[in-house]
Amino acid sequence: MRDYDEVRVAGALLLAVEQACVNLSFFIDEPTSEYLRGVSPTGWYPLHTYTALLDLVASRYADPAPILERIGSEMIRIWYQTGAAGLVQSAVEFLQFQTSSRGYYSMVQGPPDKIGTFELVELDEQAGTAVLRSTTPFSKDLERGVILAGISVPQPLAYANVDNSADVHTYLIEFH
Amino acid sequence: MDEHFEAIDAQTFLNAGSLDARRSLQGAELQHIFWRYKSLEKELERQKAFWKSTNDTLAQAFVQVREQERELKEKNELLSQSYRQLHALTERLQTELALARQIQQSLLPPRQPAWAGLSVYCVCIPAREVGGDFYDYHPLGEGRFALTVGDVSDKGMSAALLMAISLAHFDSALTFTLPPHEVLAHLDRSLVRYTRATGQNCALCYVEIDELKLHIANAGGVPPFIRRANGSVERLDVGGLPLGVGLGSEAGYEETTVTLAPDDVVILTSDGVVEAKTAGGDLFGFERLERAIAAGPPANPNAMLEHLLSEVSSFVAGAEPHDDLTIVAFQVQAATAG
Repeated sequence: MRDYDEVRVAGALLLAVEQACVNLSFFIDEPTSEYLRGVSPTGWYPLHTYTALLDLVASRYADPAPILERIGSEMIRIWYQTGAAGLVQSAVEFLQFQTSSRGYYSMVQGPPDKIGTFELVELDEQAGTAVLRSTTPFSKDLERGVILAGISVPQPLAYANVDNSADVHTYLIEFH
Repeated sequence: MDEHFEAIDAQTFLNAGSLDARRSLQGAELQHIFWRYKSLEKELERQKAFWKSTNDTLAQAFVQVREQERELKEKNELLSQSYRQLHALTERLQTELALARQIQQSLLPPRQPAWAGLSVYCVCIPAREVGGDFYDYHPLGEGRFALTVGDVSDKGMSAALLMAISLAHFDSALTFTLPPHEVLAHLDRSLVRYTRATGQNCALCYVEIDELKLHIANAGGVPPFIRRANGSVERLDVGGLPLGVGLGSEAGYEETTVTLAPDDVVILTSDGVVEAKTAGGDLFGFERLERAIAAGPPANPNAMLEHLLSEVSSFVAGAEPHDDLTIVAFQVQAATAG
């Protein structure tokens, strides 16, 4: 993570992790809270604060993948509850929004080769499929949860799935 | 997805009445039911993964708790063993200390020698199980007597050992028929080899009574007091360095002689009397000792000794004694005086 010293993340992202853990009744103890002391939603913080915070939460679980996925989903639910519902009203809008400059790129700062990309590679609205490629330094399990809730929450869907089991950086998205 | 499709779920499908009614469901509706089914399947997968992780975490925690419990039990057992050993050791040590105290007390002569011509009463109360204070006395013949109060620095076993050595050397020194200041010089030289390594010393006040003459030499001990028959109190300040340092014998010890009257009571003490402390740290001190002697019963060394013990005890009011306490009170009897 030393290579990522120049990358900073929005304080809102750190606070969203905390709120998600609270909502999900995941364990937040003194060392976890230490990372969040004095964090402002409008401030910018080193990436390692964010990753260390998630690593600490994840380290408590035998298999952190489904835990991180839930945290990601809950973060997006909070995002929708705090006003994003007006910006995004469908799965497609979510995918377009998050891969635009207002989405992922508004939450991170740093050299482009370090913050990576969050890119909508394919979108077939009629078929209800999309492919999203991510080279961000964030947890892919958490991102999977973010995308899943991101496409499911704004409108009722019969089916939504996000699968990156073949390639962690490539999310195969289905929504019907 | 068909935007005009009215969502129905599997339950609606199953509740659709007759088989015919179910057969009447058309493509879009069936498609929706298919996706809902798949959605439930996926949600089930995610729930299973989540609960498996939670369950595995709990299982791990349970194993860890069991392991910690086992370690705690082992440590507790070790601690109990150590406690038992420590308890046995403490008991043994206390028994040995009690024995040491008995032995130490047995080194001291009786509290009241049965002498014609001199009425003597002594007490030695160690602050710990064993201490460094002592008293001793010897008749020297022809109406002459030797008495002393000694106080070895420090407490505990090392002090008790040096006390025993000092006592033995004192007894030995008296065989040389030396004047008091020479007795102290001899003792100072004798004890140096025992105190060199430990840095201890022995404060000692030595007196000889020759009929009504009191000869005093002092090696750093508390000076003697005389309670005169008329009620006045005299402090006999005679200086000198403690024994076992090796300097007193080089510098020489001072010797003073005073004359006693038949009803005079002479009091020797260790510093445990003047340094007796209250819980608040107040010292008994020389002035209070002098006043206590003045207020004490006249012409009765035993009553004087009891009076002084009572005064010190009242003053410290139950505070833990921090030093040994020794008092020797004596009075020349009329027959000797005559």
